Amino acid sequence: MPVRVHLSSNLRGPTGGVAEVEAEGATVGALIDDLDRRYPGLGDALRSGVSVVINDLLIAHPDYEPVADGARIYFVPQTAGG
Amino acid sequence: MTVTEPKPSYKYIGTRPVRHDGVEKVTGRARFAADLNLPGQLHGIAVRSPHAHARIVSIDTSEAEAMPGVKSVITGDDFPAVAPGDRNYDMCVNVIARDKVFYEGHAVAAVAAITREQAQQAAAAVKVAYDVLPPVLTIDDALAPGAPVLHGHMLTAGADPPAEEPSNISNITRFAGGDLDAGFAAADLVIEREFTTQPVHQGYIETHACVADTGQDGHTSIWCSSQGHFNVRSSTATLLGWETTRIRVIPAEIGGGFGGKTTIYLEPLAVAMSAKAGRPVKMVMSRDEVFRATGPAPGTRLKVKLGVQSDGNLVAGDAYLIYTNGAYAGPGGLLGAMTVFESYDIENFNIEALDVVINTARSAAYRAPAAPLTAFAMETLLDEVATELGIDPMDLRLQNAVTEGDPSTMGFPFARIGFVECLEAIRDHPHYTAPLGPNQGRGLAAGYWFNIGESSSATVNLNEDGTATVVTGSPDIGGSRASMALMAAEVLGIDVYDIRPVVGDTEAVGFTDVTEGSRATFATGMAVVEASRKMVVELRGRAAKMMGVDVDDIDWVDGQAVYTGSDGEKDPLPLAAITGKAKRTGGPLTTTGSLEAHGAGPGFAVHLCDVEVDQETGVVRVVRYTASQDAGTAIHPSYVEGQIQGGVAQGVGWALNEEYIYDSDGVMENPSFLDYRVPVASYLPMIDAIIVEVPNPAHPYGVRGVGETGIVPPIPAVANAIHNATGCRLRDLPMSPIRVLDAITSNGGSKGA
Repeated sequence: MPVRVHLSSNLRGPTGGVAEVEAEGATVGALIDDLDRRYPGLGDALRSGVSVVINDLLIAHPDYEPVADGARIYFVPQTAGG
Repeated sequence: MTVTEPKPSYKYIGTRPVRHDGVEKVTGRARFAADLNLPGQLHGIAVRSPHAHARIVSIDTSEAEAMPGVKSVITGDDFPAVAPGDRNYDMCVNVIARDKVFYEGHAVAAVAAITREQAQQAAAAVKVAYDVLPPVLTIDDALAPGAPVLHGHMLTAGADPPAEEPSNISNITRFAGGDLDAGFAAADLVIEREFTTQPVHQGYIETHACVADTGQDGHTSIWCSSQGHFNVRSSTATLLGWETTRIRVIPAEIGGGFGGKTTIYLEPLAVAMSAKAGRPVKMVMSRDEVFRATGPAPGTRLKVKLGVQSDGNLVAGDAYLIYTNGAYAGPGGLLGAMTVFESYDIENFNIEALDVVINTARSAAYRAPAAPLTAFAMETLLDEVATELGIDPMDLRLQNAVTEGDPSTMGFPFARIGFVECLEAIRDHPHYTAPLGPNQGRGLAAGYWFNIGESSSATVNLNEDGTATVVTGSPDIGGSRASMALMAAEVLGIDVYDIRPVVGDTEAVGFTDVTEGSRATFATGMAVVEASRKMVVELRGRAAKMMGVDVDDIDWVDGQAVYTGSDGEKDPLPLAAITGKAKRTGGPLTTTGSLEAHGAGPGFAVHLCDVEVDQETGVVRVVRYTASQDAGTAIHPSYVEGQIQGGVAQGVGWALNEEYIYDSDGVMENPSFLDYRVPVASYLPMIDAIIVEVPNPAHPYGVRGVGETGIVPPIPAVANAIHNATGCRLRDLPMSPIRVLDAITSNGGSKGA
């Protein structure tokens, strides 16, 4: 079942500037693989220095996080701090 | 003063016990890294570059090696080669230079000798031949056509089209949303302003220090002050090319870090010299070294434009941000881009941020990195908008503040946040309407910081008498021992003083990420809660065994096992009764919690500052300060207040006094606390901290990080107060007496046009 994936604007190069796209995958890692198939180059951009917001939770290392039907996924730059 | 929304009733959380490490610290018994001395110890000194930018032609250590007492001399050649472009390159060559030096103070060699004086003399005898290169010291230098390029391998990440030639721009970040042109077209008022800020140091009182002891088995122990000893271990292993298991890092007490101790400088040098000499090596930086060689916060040039409708509705924002990150690539611009408009609901926006490298010390994190500077621009601009439109600055912020469900700059909707509650807490405080004296002014400003989660571990050990030891991997940089004990006490139901919170070394507790992003009480606290909850499950099982009943008929209430079954009444079993018989019921009672914490709740803060401006000298004195901040749930309110007050103090220094001053060759001219002025207690009024509690739904007790957000609003709060007092808008930091006086003079005097 496809889910809606939102890309922060600095990640939209491979989608031609499109902010929200569809993809399928049981985990975030699988979702990234599918996104890379649909938008070549997007996988590399999403596998390094990127976090995910799923169901209001900011997750810094999301590769194996499950993706439920109907979930909305937001890819955002990873943050640091002092 | 605390503003609280309804929350569960806690017995221990929210109380204010004396911190477990307090007596040791106030009596001088606590051991910081420089306090440790080992038998046979040598003293290590780094040899540092006098040039800001130079190629190393040769290093001759022969004379130094022959000097009395010298036992070890190392250079970059004693470490594995690292290729430019390798993800560890910056860290490795920052610790010890290889073919080039990139800032004055860059370590090029190190010497260990029996006494510190011998080491200093030998360090001076190391002969380094340099081919001096022109330094790149400012943003203009870095971006000038034909500028010397620091790193020949640095292609600008994020460039469109992709960069093909190296430059001093390490990264470009762009965020956009809505229709910028339409947004500005719909605006009744458009204001664009430019701001400049200078690098500032974190200003921790304790300088960097470590002792390394490498044995004949090739294993080493490091005692050091850091914000994350597991990070010291992994970074040192990377630099040396060693397996991680050969390195044990024992955390000393830390005398301040504020982000500046999230990285390493000395440890690999000390280990390498210790391995060479076969003796322990101690290294302690001087204050001069700290200023010249350790990370300041970036300097910036920021241009921000806002479009506003006459009713105060923000409809467009455009930001162009440039951050200097010192000698290597850094995240300043990225983080600036992520924070500049984050507090307000602006539908149409464009943000472009550049990270540039220059020949100054590599920038390190400093509380809410980058955010205080974007807040300086955004919040002073908002103040100007309020003045122009005749709207109360509080109302302007309340009207545009982000709330739950509003989209962030990155697109995701905010979860439950407490920005509006922080604004209301200041609006309702007596300070907001208190009269001002002569030459005084009042400034309002807000601030935002993300906060992060990352990995944490904790172990709970119950002792025979029913007391507990809680071991975590997070150094106590702001009272976290007490917070960990309070959360464990809440779960276990025992007195907080019956719990001993301990910071374990890298071989005594599970992996824990460096303390940054205000994560310790949030993430390590979650690990403590997890371990404590597992302990309660274990205790119920042991109690069931002792009572001879089913475990499902045992509840854990106020620190004792209570039988809830139908087979008559049974006396509750207190914790000590269970631990006393642990050998007979299954053995020692130990549980662990290890997790990757998700859902760090963002932090918001709102500050109100009164200043008094001396019209003849330009000296600005902060006379009253009130700060609200959303802590989610304050586990130990005193340490939340302390974090808020500390952030304010540092922010006031950043606003009024602090800056690096370099000569034209890139040599720092003010590397001491005499010439680099940080605020001291007598310089500041009592800071009234208001804790707002809007619980973070992702934490078992609602915690949000509190360590960083407090430094975000002070710079614009002070700037807005100075404007209110004098009529002058200052957009360059620091707002030193001479700048203030110049502004007053050119503005025709106080309350000028």
